[in-house]
Amino acid sequence: MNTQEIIAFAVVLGAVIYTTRQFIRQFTHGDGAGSKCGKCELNKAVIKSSKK
Amino acid sequence: MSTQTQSKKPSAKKHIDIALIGNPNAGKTTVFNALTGLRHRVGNYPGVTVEHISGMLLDSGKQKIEMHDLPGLYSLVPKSLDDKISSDIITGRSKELEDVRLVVVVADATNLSRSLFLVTQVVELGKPALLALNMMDSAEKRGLTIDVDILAKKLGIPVIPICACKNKGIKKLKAQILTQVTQENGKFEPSNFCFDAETKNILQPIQSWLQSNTSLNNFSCYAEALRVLSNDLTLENWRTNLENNQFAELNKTVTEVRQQLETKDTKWHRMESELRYRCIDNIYSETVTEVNIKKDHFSEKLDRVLTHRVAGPIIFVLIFGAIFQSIFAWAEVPMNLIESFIGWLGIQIAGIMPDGVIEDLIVDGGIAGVGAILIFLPQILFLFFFLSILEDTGYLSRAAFIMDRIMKGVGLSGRSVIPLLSSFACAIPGIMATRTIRNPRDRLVTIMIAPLMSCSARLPVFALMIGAFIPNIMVGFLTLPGLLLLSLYLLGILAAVVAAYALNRFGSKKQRPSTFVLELPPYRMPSIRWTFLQMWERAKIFVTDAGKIILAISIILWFMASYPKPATEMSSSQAIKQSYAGQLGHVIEPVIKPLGFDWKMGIGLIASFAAREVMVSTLATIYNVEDADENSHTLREAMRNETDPDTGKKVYTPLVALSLMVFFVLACQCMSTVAVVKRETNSWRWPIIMIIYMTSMAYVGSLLVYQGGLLLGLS
Repeated sequence: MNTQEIIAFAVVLGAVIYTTRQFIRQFTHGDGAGSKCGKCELNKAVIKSSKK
Repeated sequence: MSTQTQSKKPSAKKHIDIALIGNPNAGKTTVFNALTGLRHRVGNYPGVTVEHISGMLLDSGKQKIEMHDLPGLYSLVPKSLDDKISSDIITGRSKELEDVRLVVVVADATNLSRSLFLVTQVVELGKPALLALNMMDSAEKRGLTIDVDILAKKLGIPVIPICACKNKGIKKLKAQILTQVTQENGKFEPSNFCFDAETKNILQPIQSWLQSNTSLNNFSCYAEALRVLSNDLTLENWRTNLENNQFAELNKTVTEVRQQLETKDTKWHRMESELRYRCIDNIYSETVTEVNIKKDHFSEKLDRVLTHRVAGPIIFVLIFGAIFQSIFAWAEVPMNLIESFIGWLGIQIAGIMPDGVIEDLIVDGGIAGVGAILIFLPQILFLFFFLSILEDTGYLSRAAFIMDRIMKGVGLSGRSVIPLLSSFACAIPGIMATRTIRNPRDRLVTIMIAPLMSCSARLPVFALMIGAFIPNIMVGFLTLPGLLLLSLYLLGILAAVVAAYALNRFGSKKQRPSTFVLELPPYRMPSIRWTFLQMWERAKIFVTDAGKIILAISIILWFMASYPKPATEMSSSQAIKQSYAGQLGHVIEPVIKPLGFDWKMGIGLIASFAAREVMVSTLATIYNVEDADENSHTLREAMRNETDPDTGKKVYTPLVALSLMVFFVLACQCMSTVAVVKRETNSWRWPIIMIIYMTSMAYVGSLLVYQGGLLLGLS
């Protein structure tokens, strides 16, 4: 494996990590108490009403 | 509409919270934007703000003043989720915003009488308040003169006349806010002007109970007692804030007072509205002079045509037909320019860089993938240009009115219309806007059908297929590409109607659709500044937010299409077949073959779950890697030239393009939409049902189009 390939693979790995992180964040966004959406009162109200 | 919420961070600075409230469509977000310098989405129909959004009004060395723009409401009695958030914050029930120092109420000066209902309720809470009287210019044009000084005296709070959309009076409003919040005790002199001695006497038992058992101040107990007495929803709202035995006590006290009133034949449920409107009539007659009230005859005449039972829907279709035609015609020149630039950039970089993997990654992965999407930016911007013009002129509200009839026909509330219209731009704000729907069942059905409205992310796929395979011929007064694009949008609406009907019919017990009251704003000239601002914001979101994920996936796709490298010398088309992408594509090919799709399209379908536009960048990356000899300079050319090596026939035909577009109209290929459905329904059940039903519908729809077309001898 030459230097060019090592750099290219590092970039590809970065892209994979970024995409995976985005994917996970999309689905966990708002679930944590400290997250942006977790703090929003309306989201709490939505979640509470959905549980009924 | 924005989905952004800035959270409060711990700071040594003194933090002051201010709430901005008002009736829906009173211009709160315009005032908020003018005061904070932010650019949150505004609209001339209710339901644009469904989240609590905030921005800094002042951030000096000593203190931070944060303003919170709350969803619109007509009264402090909450009827939907978005009403509840505003009501809880203003009445002090919210745990997040416990100490609101000042309540700024935005009122529509052209409709002061209605706005005063909420204003008087807020004043009676005993909290420092301020009235921003918006749209003063429109009120004057209509012949209404409002004596601001007398109004301030009557209400006991400062009143600032403004015209937020023209930035008039904003400086004075900001100065008044800063004065009021920096005065420790303020000069506020609350008055519960709606209560006479007799009313106070009736309310006394409930007032005493609230005073002894809750944290409400002495002053606001009367107002709360009146709401609890007149409205079961307010009484129910206390259930969550009190212990069971306490709530039973309050309930008992309220029931006793109600029974006493019934013996005197007094309608307790009308008490608040009767008292308040009597009081409002007095204030109005002393502060407002009506001279030669001008009725908006132009709007009335136009409405008779545009909202007509038969003519309305026809005009709706014609307007959107003309828009889609223009999107193709006007965007052609900037699209060609971008396409040429991307091609030129690729050649330049390939010329500068030494041959090797890095060059391939940049040119075939990055530039080919991202560039293929950027080409469609002009079309997306034109779509938003037209949508913004339609909204600003007031036509979108009429479109909502027209669609209301269709929605009622399938058992949905008219309140579903605005979220569905929002979904034409993007399903995410549309799904969030369903919070204004009071009936939970209607809300759920609307969430489930919102992604069927064709969002702007589908446009690059439609434009690519139509531009490459549909001939530009005239059909009546429309071109075939324009007509086809209009048909795809109508197909989305039709599918949503059918899905809503099915979900209502087979889901659970049928309920009567609730009433939908929509205020139709007067027609007006659109603001060009605002239209271009919206287009600029949209372009930024497209390039920065969507651009990042498109670039990342293009890079991954480049790797998958380039590796493993063949051990022996072979053509690039053979090499790509043996790549990871080729292997994966051939696994799924048998499933999608009946729809007319080859393995490359299959890879695109999988990748587009991250974002629909990724379909285009995926195809661009795959074709660029494969097309090592550079026979085709654009993606459209590469697709037109693509032949099946086994049969020698063209892979892409107009029928395949149509089948793919139908699949894209009906499929749920958006990770963000699934995530937001999961959040809004607080369960995995509904997003999974959504993926299954939409994918099945897309597969069957596409199959019918392709196989039906083959049977009819089309290609």
